[in-house]
Amino acid sequence: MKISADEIASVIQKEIEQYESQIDVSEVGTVLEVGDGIARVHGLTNVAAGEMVEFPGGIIGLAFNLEENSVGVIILGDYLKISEGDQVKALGTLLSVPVGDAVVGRVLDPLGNPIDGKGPLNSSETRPVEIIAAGVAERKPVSEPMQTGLKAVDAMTPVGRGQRELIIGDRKTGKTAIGIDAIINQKGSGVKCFYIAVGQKDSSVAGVIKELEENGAMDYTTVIVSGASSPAPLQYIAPYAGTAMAEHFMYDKGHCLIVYDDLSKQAVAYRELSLLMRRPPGREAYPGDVFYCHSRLLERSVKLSDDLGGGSITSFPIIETQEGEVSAYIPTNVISITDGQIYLQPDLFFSGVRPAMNAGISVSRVGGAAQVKAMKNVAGGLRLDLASFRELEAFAQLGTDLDPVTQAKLDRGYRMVELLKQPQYKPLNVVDQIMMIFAGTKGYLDNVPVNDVQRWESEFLEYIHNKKKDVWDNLDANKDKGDAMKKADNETTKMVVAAIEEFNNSFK
Amino acid sequence: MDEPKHQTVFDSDQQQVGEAYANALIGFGQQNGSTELLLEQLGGVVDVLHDVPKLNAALQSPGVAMPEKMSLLEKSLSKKVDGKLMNFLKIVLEKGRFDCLPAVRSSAEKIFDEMSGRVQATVTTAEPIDESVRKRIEESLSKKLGKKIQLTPEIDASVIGGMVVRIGDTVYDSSVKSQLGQVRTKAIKRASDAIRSSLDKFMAG
Repeated sequence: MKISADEIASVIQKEIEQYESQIDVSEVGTVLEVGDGIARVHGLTNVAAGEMVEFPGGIIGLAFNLEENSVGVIILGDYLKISEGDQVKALGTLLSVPVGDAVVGRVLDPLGNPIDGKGPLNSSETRPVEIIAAGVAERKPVSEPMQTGLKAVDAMTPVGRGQRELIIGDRKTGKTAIGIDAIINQKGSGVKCFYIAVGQKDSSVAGVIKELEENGAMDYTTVIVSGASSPAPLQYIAPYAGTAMAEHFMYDKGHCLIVYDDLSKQAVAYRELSLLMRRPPGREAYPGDVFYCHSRLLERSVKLSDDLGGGSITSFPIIETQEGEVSAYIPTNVISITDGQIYLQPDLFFSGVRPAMNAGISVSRVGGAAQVKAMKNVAGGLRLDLASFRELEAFAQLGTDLDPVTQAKLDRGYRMVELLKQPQYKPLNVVDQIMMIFAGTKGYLDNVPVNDVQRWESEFLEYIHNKKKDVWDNLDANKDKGDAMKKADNETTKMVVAAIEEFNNSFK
Repeated sequence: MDEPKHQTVFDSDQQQVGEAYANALIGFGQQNGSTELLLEQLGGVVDVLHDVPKLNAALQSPGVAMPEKMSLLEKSLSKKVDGKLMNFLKIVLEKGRFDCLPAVRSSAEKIFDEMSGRVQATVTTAEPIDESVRKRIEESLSKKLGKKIQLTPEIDASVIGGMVVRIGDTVYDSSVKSQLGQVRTKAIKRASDAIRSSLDKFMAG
């Protein structure tokens, strides 16, 4: 193919011929001072809060603070190129980002500029970054499951489409891993995924992108990056920008999954901005509206009503705690906003329980309604059983002689813990999960040595997929029926039990 | 101290103080009907202080005693300045706000303009414009906006042609420079769209 210079020249010529001279009327101001990603501007009398302004060289800013004598502007770009006395032009529009199919599979900065070296974004549509979330009448309760592919999460803290499930824990406890596994598990489900990295090391983001690519997840995923070296204003708007891109699909009857990694860094960026803007500091020096900063973001994760197409945005905000301190300001805020949390603990993580989820304090407030029926039937009491097992385990360490009932409970618990372990980037289909958890809770693993549970799991799955595909298909077809796997005389249950027993006879 | 690089760069605290003094001065002037005279002379004083930085430094220095400053002010300015303005200057000096004098002047001029329905505007052109042209622009703008426009001409060769009128914070830009810029962005967009669509056609075909 050849792009001829004549063709382009003719396009330009046409443009010049058709050009009608218009007087450009604009509102301007002058930069008084600039630094640290913010500028103080004199003038701009009629600018509105949140309006876009343009600095020389096309650098975009947002009117953030409207004061008596000046306007505080946050600069979304290289503030070192702006100098005192520069003219600032109000653009009369709100900040918006490109949306549509073009963003899928790309790595973008918070303004929607591609940073993956795969050429410009071929998108004609845009959406404002900040909108008011859908109202009460435009929503409906969460009803469909959002499978994460993790046994521990799908069984004990099920997540529904449109839910906000917080992932909280200290550094190095596998928070990002849960989000990435959930994204990988959306393969083939038509769910569009967004991974929004805020304040992360660029090296770790590159690692995540590589994993997503290797697992074929980049085909339906958009990564929005404002790394640790990005100025605070970009880190602050990144989650809103990503949500705007997801909303485009949601209002078009689509389903989206967003991982905000992580919101504590965004809060820190917002604190930096606010302090530079001289907004009064409050608790932990965060500004008074840091709660609103997160609540208005997470309110945009919704399940839309049928009239609006029934689309949804599910979000996994991530919060990093310091030394397990969940009662700090930002963690308590986000816990109170979200519909449940997955709490990850370092001691579990280092003892090899991965995902290191603490079953006792992890909850899902709305996901139960969306859980697959068969899963609900097999995993109903699992969370409480596991929590009571942890108590019992601590007690048993005193070395006293235990009665057989307690010992049996302990043995069951050890096997369940072992069964809920899952390697990274290996999400499981919900049908596989149901069979595993059924086998564990009904005692079919009691005769398998604890060390062999994981081997049992992999060999059993191989057996089912290769030799008993009919059992698998039957459960898959009946998993949403209310009595599947509930009673022993149910047809599906019988088939699964028969398969497990047959396998157990041959398992060595 | 270095000269500020740009005229617009101000200290907003000084501006606030200046506004208070300016209001007082205008109020006083209105009572006596001598506002215009006061403003003109204040402008002169500010210009003199700007031109004679040593005098300005002495008047603002904390190392010079107040009686000395007073006599210095009197000696240097009393012959040229109306008695009423002299009193005002003395009050400003006594309160230690002499550094705010330029802000007082600009605020006072703005307030007086507003009171008399005048609006200051600048017109920027590539070449100097005739007085008659300036008058015509002034008249047509005044008619359009329903205010009395006072036009200050400025020259900037980079506008190439046409003119840029700035009234307050609003800019009316009909310069050749901005129109060329618009043509440029539109042409680039059209050309890149054309390239992209032909690329798409190629991929599809």
